[in-house]
Amino acid sequence: MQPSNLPQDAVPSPPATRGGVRVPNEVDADLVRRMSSGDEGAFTTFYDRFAPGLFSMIYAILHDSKESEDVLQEAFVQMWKRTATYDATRSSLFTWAVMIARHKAIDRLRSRQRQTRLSEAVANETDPFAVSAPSDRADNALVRTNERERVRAALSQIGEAQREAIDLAFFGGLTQTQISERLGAPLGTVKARIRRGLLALREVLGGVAS
Amino acid sequence: MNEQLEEQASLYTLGLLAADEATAFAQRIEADPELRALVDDLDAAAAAMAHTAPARPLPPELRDRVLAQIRSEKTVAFPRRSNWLPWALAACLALSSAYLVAERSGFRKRIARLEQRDIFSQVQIASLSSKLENAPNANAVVVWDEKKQRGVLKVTQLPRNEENRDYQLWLVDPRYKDPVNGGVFHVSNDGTMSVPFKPASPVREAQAFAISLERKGGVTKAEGPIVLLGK
Repeated sequence: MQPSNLPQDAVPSPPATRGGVRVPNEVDADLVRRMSSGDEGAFTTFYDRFAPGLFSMIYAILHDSKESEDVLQEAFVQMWKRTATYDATRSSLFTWAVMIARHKAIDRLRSRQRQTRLSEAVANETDPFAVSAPSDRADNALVRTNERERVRAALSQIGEAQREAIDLAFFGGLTQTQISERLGAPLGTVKARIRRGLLALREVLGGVAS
Repeated sequence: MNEQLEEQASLYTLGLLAADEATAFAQRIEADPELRALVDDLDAAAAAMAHTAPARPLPPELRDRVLAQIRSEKTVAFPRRSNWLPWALAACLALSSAYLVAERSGFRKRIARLEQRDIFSQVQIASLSSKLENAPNANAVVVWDEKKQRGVLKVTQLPRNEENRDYQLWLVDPRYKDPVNGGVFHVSNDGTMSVPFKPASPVREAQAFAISLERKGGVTKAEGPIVLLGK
């Protein structure tokens, strides 16, 4: 498999910059342009690239297969309808898609008033490096496995307390106060951990990506 | 960039700010390119967390369901029923007028970029149906332009509101804990009304629109019954 055949936007780093100006990912931009013009083939490509990873993320938030399917469907329909909101100079298509799907999942989670501890969920999950679903394209699965390893490596470089706070916010959908209570740490400490953790993750992932 | 701003940016990225704080911060981002760049970077870092989710088999039939829905959404978004056509034409006319005004004002370069995009992709049209037992045929249409952050609401067959109450429009955006205020309005005797609106806070993802019946002058957070709802 040649690298050029792999989804370029799977790299979890900010868009490249040139002279301080962000350089749009042309692959992303072209795909979105085609989707904006109503090209269903482009949408299918987009779905195949991102749906498996997004579904795993949504499930990690909701822990319910049926609800996860519904949320994934809602998210993709929204992305299809709202391609105009994507700005290739600000983010990768991957980041845009994750943010939309996560917001929908968190919204669903909060609407049913069910908060689940990430640690409990992880304990019940399959091996993160398990073989992907049969419907998943092999090249996309390979990219995600590589990215997962890179992100896990990056996470291992930031503090455990920081990673835990980010985990609870990202997957658990908890509020600042709930994270504080869950961790038994003062609110100010939780905020500081999240700030330091995200900044560190940005630095480490940027370094890895370059 | 000071630590306080970095902290706010981090909390904003993860959706941890209260609704009013998030609104204020979103406005600050738009006015501060450096802060916006930081938030974009933090968004990318946070999004990478998705890769750590344990792999979960994706139901293969889900793709067909999604494709079927986007095909039906196309029909819903631009139906050929005659009562929708004037609104679509009005949206075209408004954008064409904006083009002419902008051209005269010397914004040719900006417009040229806009021309490259499908103008219809920027306009969202929603149909709101009645939740009222005493007025089941009441309905409304919302034409929403996210780029311009403004829209038009047209209501028909909605009962006239009492003097001490107002109807109030709400925009549902998942970035906010509560629906965003779209303004209050009155309905005439014949149950019709048409009014432009601008939400009280920036709306990025208008997932649904609702109209509630509130006390006169409106409220900051919906309290009264929902009378019309749709997306």
